[in-house]
Amino acid sequence: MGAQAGLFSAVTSAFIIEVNSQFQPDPNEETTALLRVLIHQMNNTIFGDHIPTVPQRSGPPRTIIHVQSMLYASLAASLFAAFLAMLGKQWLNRYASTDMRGSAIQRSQNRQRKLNGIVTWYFDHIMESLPLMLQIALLLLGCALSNYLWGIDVTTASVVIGVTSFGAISYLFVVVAGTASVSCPYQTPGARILRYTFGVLRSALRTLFVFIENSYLYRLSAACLDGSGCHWVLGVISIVPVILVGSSIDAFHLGRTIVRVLASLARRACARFLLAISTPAAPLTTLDLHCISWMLQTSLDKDVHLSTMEYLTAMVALADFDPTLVVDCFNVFAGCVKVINNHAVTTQGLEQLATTSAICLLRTFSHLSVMDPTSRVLVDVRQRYNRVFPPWTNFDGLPFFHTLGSIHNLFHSDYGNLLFGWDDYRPSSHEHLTVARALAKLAQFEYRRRGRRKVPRWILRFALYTLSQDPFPPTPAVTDCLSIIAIDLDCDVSCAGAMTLDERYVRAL
Amino acid sequence: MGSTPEDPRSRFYEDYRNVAEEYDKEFMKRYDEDLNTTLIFVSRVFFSSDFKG
Repeated sequence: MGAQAGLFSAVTSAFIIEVNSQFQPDPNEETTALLRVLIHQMNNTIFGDHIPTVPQRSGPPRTIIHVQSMLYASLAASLFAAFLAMLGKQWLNRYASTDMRGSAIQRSQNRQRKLNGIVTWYFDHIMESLPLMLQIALLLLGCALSNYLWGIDVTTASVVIGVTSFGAISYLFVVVAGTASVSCPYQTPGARILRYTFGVLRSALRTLFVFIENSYLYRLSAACLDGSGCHWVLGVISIVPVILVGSSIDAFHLGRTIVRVLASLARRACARFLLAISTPAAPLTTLDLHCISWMLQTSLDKDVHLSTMEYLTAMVALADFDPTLVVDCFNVFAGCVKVINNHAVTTQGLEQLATTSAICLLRTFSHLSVMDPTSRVLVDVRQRYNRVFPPWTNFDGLPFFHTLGSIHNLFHSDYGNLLFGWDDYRPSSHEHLTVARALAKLAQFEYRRRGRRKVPRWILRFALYTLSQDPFPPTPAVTDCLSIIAIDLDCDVSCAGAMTLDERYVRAL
Repeated sequence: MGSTPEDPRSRFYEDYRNVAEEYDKEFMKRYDEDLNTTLIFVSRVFFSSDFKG
């Protein structure tokens, strides 16, 4: 260890001391000059024609100032990186320690709270920026060294510059390679940033092209040039007012778009910050849902998925959850079911997981449709579903035929519905409650989506079937079915907070 | 949680604890080693042991 330390030691600090000596006036130099003057006074002929004088010092040379600033910047960057690294170790220890008493469940929830904080406050990004700081420090050191040596000796300086630029170019190559290919082993923080920037740039370019294609200037001038088959002079003359009008309309649209984008960015940043500082107050149900979400994303074990899904179905009410939970549910479900020759088949041994995850998908999807009808996740899940299960997929004979039929009708509502009866539907009482609640929410959502015309027939048939059962189903299910019918009759069913069932009331419009 | 049956909940959290333990071990190891690398690099390259201002 000692030999290694000697090998690497003190590049910056030693260099700073070396350069620092030129920063201050050299006392030896002054003494020598004074001695020369003294000797000259005693013997005028000793220096020939040259008359020695005491030099006036006018501060350090400019190059030395530049070199010294770069060196100190390098030192400061490395010091800052070390400081952050020290803090980071402390933060990590704080994360790992179970600094809370309580049951195993409470400690798990506390752990999830801390993990949420890590994601919300970009802990990963801060840790990734440390090597970046060191790289900047190294680059500054190389530049300072080259600059300093250039003033002393060009040959030595060119060697140093050559090696420094070789290092910089290879680093650049490494960054480019890392950006181009995800599987490239030479990954650097710079590559990550670049990849992200490219993604943003690409979407920005696409938006720009769409904007140009839709712009009045483009459309009007295209129409003008197409129409003016007579003479090009006429075309040019007629295009002048078009350019004026089109560009002014476009400028108006552009300005409005920019203002809107800025406003939405500011609003999102504010909301994010408010969310971040209000995280400790997250209610327990939300925390449970975070745990579920995290489990589905982290673990690949089917048994773990099954216990997670069973807990999700067993939860009484859903609070606000991360919308990606719907996608997670869908992924688990799609992992259990295969489509062979347009016939859906469950993978051997995963029937229970498929059944449970189908219910979870229906439940989370319906909940999200009511909580946030404009969410992008809803569109995303719909697209994913369409890719895996085309409209003509056959679901006969599956144990979860009814739940799946509901999901299928939901996602392919534009294709005409899968016709199925509920007559042979014999769910457990808990499942019945869950499905009834989900369908009531969906009835409301679909009713609004279709421009307040009708509730889909298959949902209505479910309500009628449930209400016609002989041992009467549990009261909440009856309430939900009555709500479905009320919605179809064009009544405004106000779900008080969409959670508390008993406070629901119907108001005829 | 009112009428929630305790069984699925405790089963879920038992699984959760196992997965989280494994994940956190990996997480801690990765970041701890990264930070150690940074600290060693800084102390070796930028500061010698015989650094005297």
